[in-house]
Amino acid sequence: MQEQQEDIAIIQMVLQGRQSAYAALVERYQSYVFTIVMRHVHNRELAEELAQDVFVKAYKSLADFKGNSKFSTWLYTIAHHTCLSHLRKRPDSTVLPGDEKMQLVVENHGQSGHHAHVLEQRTQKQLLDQAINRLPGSDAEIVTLFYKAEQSLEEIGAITGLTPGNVKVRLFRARSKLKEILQHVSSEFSMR
Amino acid sequence: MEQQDIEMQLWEYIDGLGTETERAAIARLIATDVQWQEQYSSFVALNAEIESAIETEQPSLRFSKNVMEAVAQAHIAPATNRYINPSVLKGIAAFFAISIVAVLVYAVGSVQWNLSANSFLPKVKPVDFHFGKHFNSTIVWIVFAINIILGLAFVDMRLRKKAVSDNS
Repeated sequence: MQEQQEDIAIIQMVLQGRQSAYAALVERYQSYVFTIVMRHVHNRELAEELAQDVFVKAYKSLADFKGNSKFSTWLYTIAHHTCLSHLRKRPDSTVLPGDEKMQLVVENHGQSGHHAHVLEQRTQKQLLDQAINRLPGSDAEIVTLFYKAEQSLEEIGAITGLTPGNVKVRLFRARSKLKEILQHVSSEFSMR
Repeated sequence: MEQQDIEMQLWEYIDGLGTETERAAIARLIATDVQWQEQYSSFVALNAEIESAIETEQPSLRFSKNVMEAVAQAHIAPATNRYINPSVLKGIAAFFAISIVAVLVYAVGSVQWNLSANSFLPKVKPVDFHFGKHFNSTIVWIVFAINIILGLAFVDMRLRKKAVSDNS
């Protein structure tokens, strides 16, 4: 709540002409915006370019921010649409569809199982993090928004243009996939 | 109850969703049913793992500097409601709504609902409208001319207003 009030105070300063105040908003949200973009494009350079575009777009439209939602929700909506717009122009940005990508994680992990020392180095946390990155972009985005960016199902719905019910189903599906991966890997590990 | 329903309800419970009554019912099932209890424990563990595993990606150190350099060359656009009059939008929406309703009323009104023995489809009266006859008439051209003059007057008015606001 305090963060939201700070955001609104900063926005007022920027709208009154103190452009440098915008840096505080960039600092506060850059990692979240960058992560959301990375979930879609999986390329750091491109993600930086798109994330920068998100902040410039947000700056230009700052007068349109009414404060009806959290600034973060509004900003992530711009990030979501910027990614979708990019992917529409460059559909080759995502190489594999979600399920194939997911299969690849499991297979990669299975292969590494032949080398016990490599497997030991990989913690479950790393695997899960990798698995989240390999979820379909939209699902990974929802997981990130829910767990990391502290957005409610309603807010995620506003960002992604889905109904809260659909968001709930997508989140359920993503969690099931993550659980499946963990179970698959742990059963492989126990068999060796 | 199917496995998927149980899982869905447990996730809703963990996420703090649902009404008090629903939550109380699920809490009771977790306390009494072994299947629900086991599933709940595994989901709580998975939830904690996901929470701890997700880390935000960090952009390069120059990122915020790059953004501020790009922002320095940008201008904040005036709020949309300052240059788009909501009543104009409502007027356009009303025009289309009325047009659609009029067409529907005309179409429904022209349908012959009596079924004949050899046809189950309602007969529609053919529209008796001669475009050439109406669009060649002088009246239509006069209406077009008036619309063009009104349009130009409207554009002129808007541009004058804009010039005044820019100067001020």
